[in-house]
Amino acid sequence: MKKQKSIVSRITAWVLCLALAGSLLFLGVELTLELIDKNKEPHITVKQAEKLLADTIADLPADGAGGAEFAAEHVSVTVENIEYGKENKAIYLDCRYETLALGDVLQQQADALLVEMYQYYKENNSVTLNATKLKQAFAPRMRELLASAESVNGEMRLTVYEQNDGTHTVYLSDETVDTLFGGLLSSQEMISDVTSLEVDGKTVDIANLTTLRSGCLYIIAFQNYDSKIPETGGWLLASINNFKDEFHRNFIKGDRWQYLLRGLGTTLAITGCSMLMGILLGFLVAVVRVSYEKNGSLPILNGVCKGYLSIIRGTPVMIQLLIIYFVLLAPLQINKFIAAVICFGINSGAYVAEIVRGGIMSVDVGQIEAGRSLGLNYSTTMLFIVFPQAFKAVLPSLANEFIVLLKETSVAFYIGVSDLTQGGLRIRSVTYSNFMPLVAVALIYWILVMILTKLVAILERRLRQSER
Amino acid sequence: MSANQTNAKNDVVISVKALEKSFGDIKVLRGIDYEIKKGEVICVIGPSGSGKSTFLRCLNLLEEPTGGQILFEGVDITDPKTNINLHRQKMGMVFQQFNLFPHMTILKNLTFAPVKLGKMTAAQAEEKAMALLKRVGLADRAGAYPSQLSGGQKQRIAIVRALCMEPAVMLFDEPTSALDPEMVGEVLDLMKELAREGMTMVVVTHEMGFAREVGTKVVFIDQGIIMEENEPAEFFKNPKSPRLVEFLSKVL
Repeated sequence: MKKQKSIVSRITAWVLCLALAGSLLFLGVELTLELIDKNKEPHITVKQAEKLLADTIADLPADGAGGAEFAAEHVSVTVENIEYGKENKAIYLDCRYETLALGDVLQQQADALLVEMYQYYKENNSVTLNATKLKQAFAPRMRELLASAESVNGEMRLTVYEQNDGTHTVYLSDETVDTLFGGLLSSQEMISDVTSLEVDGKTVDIANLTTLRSGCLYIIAFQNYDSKIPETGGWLLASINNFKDEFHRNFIKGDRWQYLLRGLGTTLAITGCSMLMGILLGFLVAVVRVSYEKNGSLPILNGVCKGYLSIIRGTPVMIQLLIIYFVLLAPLQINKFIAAVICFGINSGAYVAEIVRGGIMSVDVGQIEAGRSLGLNYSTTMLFIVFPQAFKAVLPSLANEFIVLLKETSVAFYIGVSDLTQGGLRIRSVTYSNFMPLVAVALIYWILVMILTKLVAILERRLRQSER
Repeated sequence: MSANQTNAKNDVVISVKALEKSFGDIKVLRGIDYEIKKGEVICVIGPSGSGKSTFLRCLNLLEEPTGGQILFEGVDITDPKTNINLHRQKMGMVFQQFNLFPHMTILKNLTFAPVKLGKMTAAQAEEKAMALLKRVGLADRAGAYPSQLSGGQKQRIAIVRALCMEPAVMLFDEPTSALDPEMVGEVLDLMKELAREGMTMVVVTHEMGFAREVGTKVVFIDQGIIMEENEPAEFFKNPKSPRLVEFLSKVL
């Protein structure tokens, strides 16, 4: 008889296990990746960052050097003074070129831009640096390229981040589009070495590339093609080779699979935690609603709950997420992960509440009467007699809700949470591939959903067995 | 005389005074006075919609009376200050639809309330439950779930579940109405056995045979009042009110 555990405890155990597994995976992945990170190059320190800037400035052509020094002085000030967010301090050195001859920008507008930058710094406490910045970013290694470039399209950004441990990291990105740290990887690659590229035994003259944007693109692409460009051998072989190359470039090269793994951990952790919160919240709301419907008690709370359900179910989850993170929780400077969990927990709670309410109402009133007639009080009767039956009745709908939730967490990347979706988008932004990262992300979600569906089917069968 | 009265008063388990119950505008019970003494088996009969089930459900406050008083062992349970849960523990109830807990094994169905309410330890409750199950010949089904039982078995389990709380009174709300005819007997047999052992019982039923054989009193409720009440032999032989004559002519 002892092994006949109650259904409530069994279900609770399941849910807790899932959440725990998600969180553990998340932590495990984080720890492993941190260990891997330790073996890589250390972050650049403040001194090194300043030296890097000084070196590049020193490397500039003589006629632009005066302005650059002027900039450098203020750059070093800003490294220490500018706060960005809660976790990082950073200076941004931005430049924007639009089909202007590089020489013109450098020689005719450099001084004007530097003055402008200094004023901007005084006004906004941040630095905008144009022509000089480009030099700093690419000199000395890419100076040849730039010097010979006819025109420049696109935007460049050099960012110095102060890490939590006080060290600094310099990132160069080829796009300032504010998504996904897109330039993070490419910058490291560009800073590494791009002067001589050999493809198929031929030296590719980077200086011949006409625009900076496409130049960057090619450089990344070339760097990623460790193997040779597929040889001719029929379209099948070619496409297989191409597939292999693409796969290597998107996932193996630069350990990019880590983005997906890390993201998977985060996605599972968000889903698990939101699920717990959703169940808790949904159950409470359902109980309030049911007691109102059955006994007319708690009218005010019931009104509040109805409002909550109406608002949450009547607005898109993405808007809810943005409002919660950027409006409601903004003053608290709360961690993005926690904000996402709060948002999805609140969102899922509304759906769970309606599901659970339906389940409770569907339990025969005779069950309550039987419980009460034995002398059990209302709450004991609800808790041990009605809820377990209701829970079993709504399990398939609840499972569906959580499958939806798992997929819905993909919008978390809008507030910059590094979930599975964002992992894929990051890879995409670095490799400029669409097929590989997007399909990989889709595949992982699909597998997760299939596993969840299977688990629920097993659980349902067990529950049904207990009655047959 | 006075000694007799006290004695009689001590014997009274449930005393119903001017009991009224309305659902909205509809008056279902319109002033019922009745006393149920220890060891009595009161069979309540009446046409459908007469209020007999409501009367029974008022006795343990599953329906809240809208007027009058119900004294259980001398305590007014209609008083909002009374803890009705304590009194319900002493009033077992058996429903037409059994209302066993489908998510619990038979044994758990029996032991859940006594253990939860601190009346017995788990071991005591299991011992008691197994003894009762043995008595009704269902000990081998202790680990089964209600859906695995027949209707008659379910109702016997429901009776045993109520007995596990060691009640002073048992209330039966048409306990055989939902059963297939061939299963009615096993349930009635168990109820007869209970009656023989001196259990105080109030039975709302359509089983006239049972009422005649087992009942110490038969009560005819119609239109929300007790129309007639008598010893079973007299009740069925010489019905007085025309309504009862009419009713009996239909059911007998």
